[in-house]
Amino acid sequence: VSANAVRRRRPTWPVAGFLFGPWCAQVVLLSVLSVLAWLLFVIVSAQSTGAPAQAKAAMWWCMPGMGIPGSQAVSATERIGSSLPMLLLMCAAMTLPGVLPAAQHVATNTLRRRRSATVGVFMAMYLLVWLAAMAALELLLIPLGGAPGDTMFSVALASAALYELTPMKRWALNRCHRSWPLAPTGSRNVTATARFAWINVSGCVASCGPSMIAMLAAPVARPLVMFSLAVTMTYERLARRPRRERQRIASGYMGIAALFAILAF
Amino acid sequence: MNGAVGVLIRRDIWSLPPDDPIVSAYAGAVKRMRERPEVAPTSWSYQAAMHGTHTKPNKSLWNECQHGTWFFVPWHRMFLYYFERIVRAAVIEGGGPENWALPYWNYGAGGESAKLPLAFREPKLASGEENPLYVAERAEGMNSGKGSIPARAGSPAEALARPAFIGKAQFGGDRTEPAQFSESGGELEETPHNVVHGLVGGKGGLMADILRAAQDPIFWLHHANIDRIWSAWTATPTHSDPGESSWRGQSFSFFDEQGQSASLRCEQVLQTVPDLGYTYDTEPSPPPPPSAPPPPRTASLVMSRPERELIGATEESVELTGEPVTVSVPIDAAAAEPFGPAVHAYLNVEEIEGEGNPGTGYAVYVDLQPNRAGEEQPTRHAGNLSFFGIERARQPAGDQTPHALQSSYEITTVARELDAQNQWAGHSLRVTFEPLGLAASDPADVESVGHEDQPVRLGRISVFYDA
Repeated sequence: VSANAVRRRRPTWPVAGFLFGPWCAQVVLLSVLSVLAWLLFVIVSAQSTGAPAQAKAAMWWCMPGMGIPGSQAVSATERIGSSLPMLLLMCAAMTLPGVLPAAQHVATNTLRRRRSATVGVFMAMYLLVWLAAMAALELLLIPLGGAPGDTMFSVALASAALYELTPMKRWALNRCHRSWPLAPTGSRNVTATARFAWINVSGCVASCGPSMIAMLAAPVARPLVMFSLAVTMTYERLARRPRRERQRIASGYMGIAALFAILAF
Repeated sequence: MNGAVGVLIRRDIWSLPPDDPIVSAYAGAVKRMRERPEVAPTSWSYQAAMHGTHTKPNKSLWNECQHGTWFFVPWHRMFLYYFERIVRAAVIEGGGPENWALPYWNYGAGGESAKLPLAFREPKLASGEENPLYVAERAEGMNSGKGSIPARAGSPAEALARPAFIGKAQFGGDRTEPAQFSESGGELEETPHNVVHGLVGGKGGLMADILRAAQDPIFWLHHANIDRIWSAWTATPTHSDPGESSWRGQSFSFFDEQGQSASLRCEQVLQTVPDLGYTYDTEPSPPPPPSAPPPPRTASLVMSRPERELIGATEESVELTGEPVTVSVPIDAAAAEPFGPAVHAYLNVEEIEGEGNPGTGYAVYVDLQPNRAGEEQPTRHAGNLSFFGIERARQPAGDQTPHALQSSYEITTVARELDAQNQWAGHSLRVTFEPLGLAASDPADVESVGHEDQPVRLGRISVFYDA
């Protein structure tokens, strides 16, 4: 009897089972914020569609390297600075769903009177690091110049697919699941929470960074790409069998990369 | 369903002479299974690897054991059931009894029964042949027969007294997905299961290592005893197994005596006689009902608060190296009031980390009176702490995510006593960890409980309220 034949018969639980259960108020709030971030993103996207170039400038963050008409004189630093609000919105929308279990861990392991502050410290650290990472990725992509094409997207996605299969990816994903003892009160509570957030977010950035680059390099339908990637990141993070899911995701990425490579040529 | 005629009876190994046909047939079957090709699912090494193995790459159904999860007892019952069928077939092949059933090791009975059964101790048989039941990689005091499982480690009383199946500090463990090593084991899994694993294996022994434990022939008798305790717990009228479909409908796969894949669902193994065709010669006596804790101080004034709530935790981690350690857990005054009548108090030992199982367990006490040994104050015994599987928590062997190791103990009775004396909210709770090694008349006859070379760090000790 082959291993695969036996394994195919094994039942699995729905991944969403991870998220069922009583949530702390702070986690409910975070999930609401995540939904609001997506709604806001959709509204901004819709408003910029068909709008003049100046309005589109609000969305240029997802078009790295693409010159904004009339903005050639703007320095890279200024461009990053002006796009920070949108980057933050994107980080919140994409990463909040996956971090909810970790936020719940922080909330339930904290005294009630300190719960909001502790979850706040955790989320502030988490989002700030993601924001810094996304800004850095943008800075890296700007020198490439011009609109991202099918070739660039194809290469970025194929690289992300290969990365899924590396030990580094496994290490990073495991780091997303590490916990840290949280001191209940005082400055130790703040430092321990920040430490836990750093462990968590550094793992997340290292785990999803290459996929984020691919998203930034997407030539078409970026909101759709962004949504698909957010779902993939969350699913991968909560997967019961992470190795199997990484292999599936790598296959999916590679298939899409091949499609765009064909379109490019 | 068991492949044999009639209901099989699993017997206490200590009620059988070392040369009893049941024991000698087991030894012969172990030898026969070891001679089979390693790739055969009915071979000794393959069966052991199904529980856990360091060997890579994984073969079919290797590393499938369930620990730290509410699937712990049903998975091991299924595993033993199919293993017993494989062994019985090997016994019959060798001309042994057709109604052979796996014996169990009832170390909880104390006295001589708490020592390793005689048939497992000697490297050679009377005939001069190698004894298939002997394993050198055990705690020295076990194989010498000079050490025994102490009552605090081997007694199933605290597990049997748990009123519910589901929950970290309850009998069977908390809800998790199927996992080789998760973080929500129940009282039975902790004591006696985990503690006995560590004490029999000792430092670096097979039984202390989750990925090698099933290579030791005593493993199967230890688990037969765990299975027997589950049967006894279920037999208590007020106890019931989980009714949730996510537990009852969960199935696991094994190999039968033909080497063919076979599956069972949890709901198919709840009754040993009608479902699986075996029973035990004796079952542990149900424990006396626990004494009722003092009533809540302000019972008539407060509402129950059913959700899980942290009320106190240590600021710093604690390192265990084999010495007794006492720590104070500050109980937050605001969080601990009110202590409603429906609320239970739990002690959690969290973020347990170490390179490997040191083989030493710890008895955990709360509010222990100074200058008195824990054994003299049994009402202060919260439970035991052991480190079976510690090396796998951060680095899981299979396709699983890592997690922290933790243990939970219900301390409601002590908490209510302290609350009645106004020594609870706003005060500190003393928590003592006493090393738990093999019992012996002369401590020099057994391994030292010290493990300075393999320290274990407890990241946080906390107290929670829960329903």
